[in-house]
Amino acid sequence: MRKIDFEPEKPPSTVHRHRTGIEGLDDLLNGGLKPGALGLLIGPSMSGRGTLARQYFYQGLKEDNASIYVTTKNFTEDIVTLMEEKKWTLDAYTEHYVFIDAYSPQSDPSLKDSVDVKYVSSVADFARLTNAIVSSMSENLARGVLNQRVVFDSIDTVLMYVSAQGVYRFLSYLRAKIKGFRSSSMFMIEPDLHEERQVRTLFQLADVIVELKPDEGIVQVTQPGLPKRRGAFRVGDTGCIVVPEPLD
Amino acid sequence: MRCGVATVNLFRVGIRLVDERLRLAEGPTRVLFISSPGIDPAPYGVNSAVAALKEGLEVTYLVNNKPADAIRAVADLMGFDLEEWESTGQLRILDSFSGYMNIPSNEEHRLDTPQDTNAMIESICDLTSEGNVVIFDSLSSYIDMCEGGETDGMERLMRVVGSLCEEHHFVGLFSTWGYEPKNIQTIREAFDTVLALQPVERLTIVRQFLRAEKIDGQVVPDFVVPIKVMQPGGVRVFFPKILVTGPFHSGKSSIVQAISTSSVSVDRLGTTIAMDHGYLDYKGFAADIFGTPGQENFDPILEYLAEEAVAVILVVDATKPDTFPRARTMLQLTKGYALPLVVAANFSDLEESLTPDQVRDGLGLQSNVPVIPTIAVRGSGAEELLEMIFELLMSEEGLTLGDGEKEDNDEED
Ligand SMILES: Nc1nc2c(ncn2[C@@H]2O[C@H](COP(=O)(O)OP(=O)(O)OP(=O)(O)O)[C@@H](O)[C@H]2O)c(=O)[nH]1
Ligand SMILES: [Mg+2]
Repeated sequence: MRKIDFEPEKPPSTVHRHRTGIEGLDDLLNGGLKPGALGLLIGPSMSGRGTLARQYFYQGLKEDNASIYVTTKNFTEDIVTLMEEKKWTLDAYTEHYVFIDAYSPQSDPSLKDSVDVKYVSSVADFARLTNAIVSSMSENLARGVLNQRVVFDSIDTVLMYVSAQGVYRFLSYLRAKIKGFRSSSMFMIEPDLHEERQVRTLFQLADVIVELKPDEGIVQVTQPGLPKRRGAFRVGDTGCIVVPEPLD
Repeated sequence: MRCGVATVNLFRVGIRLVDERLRLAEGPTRVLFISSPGIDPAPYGVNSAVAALKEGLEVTYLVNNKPADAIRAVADLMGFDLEEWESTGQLRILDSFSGYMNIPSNEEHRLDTPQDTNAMIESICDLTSEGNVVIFDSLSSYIDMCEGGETDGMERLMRVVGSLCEEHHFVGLFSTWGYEPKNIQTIREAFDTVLALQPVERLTIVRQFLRAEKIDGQVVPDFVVPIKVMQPGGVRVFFPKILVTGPFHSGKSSIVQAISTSSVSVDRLGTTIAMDHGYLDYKGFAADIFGTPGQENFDPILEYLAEEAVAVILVVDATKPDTFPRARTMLQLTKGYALPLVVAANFSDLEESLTPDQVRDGLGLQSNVPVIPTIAVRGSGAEELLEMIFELLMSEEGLTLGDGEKEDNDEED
């Protein structure tokens, strides 16, 4: 039987959440992302959204979660290099993470899967792409890793290949899978690249929206049924720094 | 209008049980693989292509959601080398992706303007002579990539499918990404043969089933077979667990070896102390074979070893009726009575061996349980065992093996 929850929101300590590793942001998120949540990470390029996503990915490894990184517009090596710049090294975490690389095969179709990387020859091949994501989650679960997280970088590329309706169907399917596996996720999108109407329908799928507004230097967190939260945002040497504004 | 019907070659998709029903088809065949989003349908397209190529048909493989090389890679994993067919021109992979993406391509066959429906139809028809095969990978991506959205995509797609189906065998791959039900229905109706690929998802184990909704326009009720893409090997009707059990030293390990394409046995001092394991690939069927130990001290785990078995081969030493009570106990422990069951009356090379009927009686089994005399060490009787076990498995699924091997082609229309 499902109990009706009268409490506004449980304190972070009682509900296990997937922390982003960015203290202030975790506060804004009431402790982190809920298992099963589809998160949208919104922001223009150079806004720090990549760093935020990589930090969330790496925090998963530090907490013994499994982390999955889907890249559609960068080489896996480049993402790894960017992580190393922040001293987020992956060496100790083999088999706890996997990259799903739908970008590199465009320049080298002969790439073969390894422990760290699964290649998908095209973002438009939804069947292969979802298959790679779902089978990775499934393998993690089979190894007994119950907490996992997915970074999807980014929806922008998918919208270049496929109609907005198509992307909506694709995300709806992934959302159901992410819920099923109780993974948390961050799907990156840059709204200014797309028609507003298209983006708005995608927003409906989100359980939580993290939006970076570099002009104002803030991050804003929106969760259905909860008041919007904001904080000052910047990228420092060791990762993102968020200073929450008090609840008003 | 259907022209050239008389000259159309018979077409197969390379899947046992489906092909046996397709054989009666006259004229162009229109096959739809309709898959749940979790299943990649591309291997089924490749499998169909290879089956057709092996039959001597020409194949045009249109790919619109990934580079043409991705298809070659899929084929490679399945153990098929497309190069030879490509070099003779029997197979052409038509790149409908790079043109859409506006990226360069070295492909010999490339569609520059994939959005142009007429151009697409025209160039496919130019490449593919009447009576040959067109594979369209994928119909759903075609819809997804249409700027006008689902309605526009559907309309264009049906025009393409309609034109190509007239004179060609046509195989379409379609993933059901939550489209309007009426659109999915329209697509189903455009095909004579509709094969649905569905996953069975326990939390981690993912198995696939193929459900034939209709074959050659005929609705086929209850046609569901487990299926797997073998790497290498291609698409197989697949049984995840056939159990081989029986008393101590009756020849179980030898039987596993005899019926398997490849096998390993964990033996110590001539007796099995873990499981025998074999993989079997036989006439379009595949199965994993598990052999149990025979000694009684393994009984506590026997039940567990038998979990999820779909059929049982009971091996007895036909010269030792005193071991038959033990055989019955093992059948109980492995739930063999409730599953398709075949008995191997082994050691039939020895003079004192009992006849199959005597073995059946001795085991107290019903008259319909098949008993096959075997000499496991020489592999004799292995083929009969396999034929029998697959026949039982099929009738278990409410299916019969096709009449391909037997001679009764009585058509009713
Ligand atoms: N002559 C003859 N010998 C056989 C036959 N089948 C098996 N053998 C021999 O019988 C012995 C036992 O065979 P296995 O296949 O190991 O029997 P098993 O049932 O796996 O034995 P356990 O695992 O110890 O229960 C071996 O030496 C085989 O070579 C047969 O049909 N005829
Ligand atoms: Mg043995």
